[in-house]
Parts: sequence; structure tokens; C-alpha cells
Amino acid sequence: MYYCTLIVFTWGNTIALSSLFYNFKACSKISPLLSIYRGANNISMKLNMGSENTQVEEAGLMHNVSRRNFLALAGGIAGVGMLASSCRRTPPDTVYVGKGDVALLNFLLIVEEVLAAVYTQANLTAYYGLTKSELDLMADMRDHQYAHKVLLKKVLGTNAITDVTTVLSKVTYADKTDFLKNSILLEDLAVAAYNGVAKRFTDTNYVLLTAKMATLQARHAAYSRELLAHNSLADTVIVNTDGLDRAMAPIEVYNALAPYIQTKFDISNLPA
Amino acid sequence: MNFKNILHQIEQADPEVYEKQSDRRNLLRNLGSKAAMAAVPFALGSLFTTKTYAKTTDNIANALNFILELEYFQYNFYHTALATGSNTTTLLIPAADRDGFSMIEGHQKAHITFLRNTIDKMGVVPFTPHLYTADPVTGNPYTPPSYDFTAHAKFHIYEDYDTFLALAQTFEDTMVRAYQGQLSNLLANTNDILTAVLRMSTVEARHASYIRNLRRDRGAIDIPKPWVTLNAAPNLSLIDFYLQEDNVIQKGIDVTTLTDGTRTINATAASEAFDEPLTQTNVNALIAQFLL
Repeated sequence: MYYCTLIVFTWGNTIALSSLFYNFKACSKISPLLSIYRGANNISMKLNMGSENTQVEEAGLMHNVSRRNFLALAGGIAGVGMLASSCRRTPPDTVYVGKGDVALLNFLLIVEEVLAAVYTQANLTAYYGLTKSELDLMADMRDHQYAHKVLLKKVLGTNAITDVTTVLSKVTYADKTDFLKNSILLEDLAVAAYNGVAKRFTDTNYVLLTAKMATLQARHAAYSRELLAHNSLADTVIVNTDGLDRAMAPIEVYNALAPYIQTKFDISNLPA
Repeated sequence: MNFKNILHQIEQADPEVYEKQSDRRNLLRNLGSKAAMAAVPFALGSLFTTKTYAKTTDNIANALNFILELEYFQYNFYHTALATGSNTTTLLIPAADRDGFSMIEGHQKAHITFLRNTIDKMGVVPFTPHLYTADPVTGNPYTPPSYDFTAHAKFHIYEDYDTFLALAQTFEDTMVRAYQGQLSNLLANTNDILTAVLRMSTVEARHASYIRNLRRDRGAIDIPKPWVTLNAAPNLSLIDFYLQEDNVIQKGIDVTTLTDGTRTINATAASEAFDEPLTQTNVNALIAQFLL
């Protein structure tokens, strides 16, 4: 208990406190502690979800908020390390994506979360020289990612991962070329993710659903490519000599996406 | 791996599966690694006894041949358009856009070759267009006698670039829908045919996006976006191609009722975010006016 109090004072931050108790959740030896603070744990889940919104809505503060959360989390973990490390099997700051179809859908949700976060930020701090048409379509692209996101969450129900914190600083939003290059990279990757995931589903109804989303990502990709350079809807890296778009294994996509994601995921049961 | 589910997939692809002629080896090949992993070949043996089972393979080959037919259709459309006009008269497709359309034409041609090879490997005869006279393996897939892309002078595509673009957009959007309509026939396939068709569908979506954006930049009256908004068509004569595209129900869930924090999803975004499949019957009815 002394430890907990110490950390609260040190960091003065509910997120540090909540992550601390979240760590305890996995530890049966200190279950009396957990029972006292179960309420706090619930709050922490909400805070984590909220922090993602804060990050994108307060454009100017974005990176500060993000960094503060990260430090708070890291501090909480460091502080509790001595106490809890001996009794938990997986790192407390790691989000388990599940296995089988749940893992695949959560994986797609991660892809969509990154795109949604990037476009949300891009709409708030759009690049210089943006036309009215580009502004309208950028809002559309954001809304499409949200539509995909909420549907995947709804389909996953309680199995959906809740706290994805993205790294938005990868993109220089004010610079058209840099933003578009990131958009193209992410959209082409989303296409490859959807195309790659299909044959791995056990429930083939998901194939029919995700195919409808894949083609929308391809529309996005071609549009961003056109904005960057006319007649560049695809290239020979993206579409091979058989005229086939890319299909990548989930782990390949995940690794390529890693620079855009702060949250650590346990993908040990993500179908290979 | 859920074995019951695999059986369910086949049953969906072919409702008569359990009554049908069955050959165990053939079925196992179709099931591939899924069945092997389920490790219940004996159970299969008792389900599919003395008869021969070939409907799944038929379904896959039929679906691929239908897609091949559509690829011939598109290749001929673009090849004709790229050959219309000349530098000394007026090119139908202007210099600025020719690289884009040449790339699109190249994709369609690559799809034809890929599909012919894939179908041939299945031991099925690949589709060849009506009135095609060259050698389908070595010849160019260009066959002008097979198509009339003006639909008997209904669309003046060779005189007017904007009319050509309106039709091109409609064809590409329809191909995306047509391919998605065939996926249910490919679900029992455990090798890469399902994936290949998905990979072709996203290429068609890129084409659609490119053409829609061209039309947007040229000030088309319907102000198209790179994605399909509700069931909006370029003009009244093409509305049939966009029926049901305004669907907002996915997997039984009305996407417009979902929220993310305070963010809501309106019907426009919900319709744009998902392309919608079309059946083979519907696609055939839509393109019949362009066939000779």
C-alpha cells in the first residue's frame, strides 16, 4: 500500500495509478488489494479509451498528451515492477488480441485505428494548399475509417481491443507530400492486410464482409496516389505482373505498422 | 480449426453436397489443409460414400470463367478507346491521361492471362469471347466483333471523352461488385484462388477511384468522389448499375446506428465505406446491351 501511495504522489496522475492496479489484476497473491481497487481499475479502462480522443481533438497538445501518458504508464510499471513482476505471466502493458478469427478482426481493427487517427489529425491540421475538394474527401476518408472501426468493434463485441494508442508524430501533417506518402503507405498496407487476412478466417462470412472494406481502402490508396502524382493509381511494386494487388500475412503488416503504434500488443496467437 | 465449419462452407457453396456424387480424394483435395488439420478423413468417408463430388470445383471454375469473361470485356473496352483517334486528328483519351489508362489496360490483360492459366490448370476450358478468331493462348485478347460499347449508339463514347469516362467508371464499379459477388463460390478453396480474386478486386477498385477522380476534376455534373456515394450514378441511363449500393446494413448491423465516442456514422459514410456485391445474373443483365 505504501508503494501505491508513493507513486500517486510522484506522478500525480490517475493513469499511473490505474495502470498500477491493472498490473495487480493478474496477481493472485495480492487479490485483497485488487478487491479494494476494482472500481479504480474500471475507471482506468475508460481513461485509456478517452486518452485516444484527447490526443486527436486537442491538436496542438497532441504529442505532449501522448508523451505524458506514455511516461505515466512507464513510471507506473517501473514503480510496481519489484512488487508484481514475480506473479504475472505477461507484461501488464501488453494488450492481448486473442486468437483465431478474433485475433484477425482485432488485427484489422488496429489497422483501421491507425488510419482513423491519422485522418482525424490530418483533418484538424490539414496540409498547406489544400483545395475544397481535397478537404471534403479527407473528411470522407476519416469517416470511412470510423465506419470500419465501429463495425469491427461491434462484430467483436467484448473481444474487441479497447485501448489503441497511436503515434501520430510519424506524419508531418502540414506538408502535403509527407502526408500523402504516409497515407499511401498506410492505405496500400490496409489493402494488403485485408487481402491477406481473408484465407485465414475460419468463419468465411468474415471474408465476404472484409472484401467490401478492402476495395474501399484500395479506392483511398489510388486517390492519395493520384493527389501525389497523376496516373500513379498503382505501380509495379503494388500490382504485380499478374495484375494482382498485394496480400500480406498479418505479422508482416503488423511489423510495417509498428512505427505508428504505441500500444504493445500480444499477437502470439495471431494466425500466421 | 473447426471442422464442422468447413463442412458448412461447402454446404453453403453447394446445398446438395450431401446427396451428391462424391469421390473422397477429390473432396479432400478441395478441402486441402483444412481437412488435413481437422484430421477426420474417416468421418468424411462416411459422409461422401460411393458417389463423385465435383460441384465445388465446378463452382470455382465457373466463377473464374465468369470473371475472365468480364476481364475480356474490360480489356476490349480500354483497348478500343486507346486506339480511337490519333495525334493528327483527336485522341479520345488525351495525352495527359494515357499513362493511367495504359496501366489499367495492362492490368486487365494480365488478369486475362492469369485467369486462363489458373482455369486451365484446373482441367477446365477457359472462356473465350463469342466471335473471337485468334488463338486464345498466343493471340491478343482484342476482339472487336464481340462487343458494341456504344450499346447501339446509346452511348457516344468514341466522340465524347466525358461519356467514355462515365461508362468507364460504371464498368469499374460494376466489376468490383461482380468479383465480390463471386466470392461465395470460392470459399471452399484453400489455395490462393480466393486470395487472387480479392487481389484483382482491389485493383479494379483502384481503377474505379482513378476514373472517378478524373471525372471529378473535369467538373462532372454528378460531382463523383473516388468512392460510391449511396446509389449515385453518373447519369440516369446508368442508375441500374448502382442499385443496392446504398446499403448500410453489414452482417445484420445497421452501421448508421453505431457510434464511436461522440462520433456518429451517417448513411453517406456508411454506404461509401463498403462496396456491395452483385450476382452473376444481375451483372449479365447489366452488360448484355454491350455484347454482340
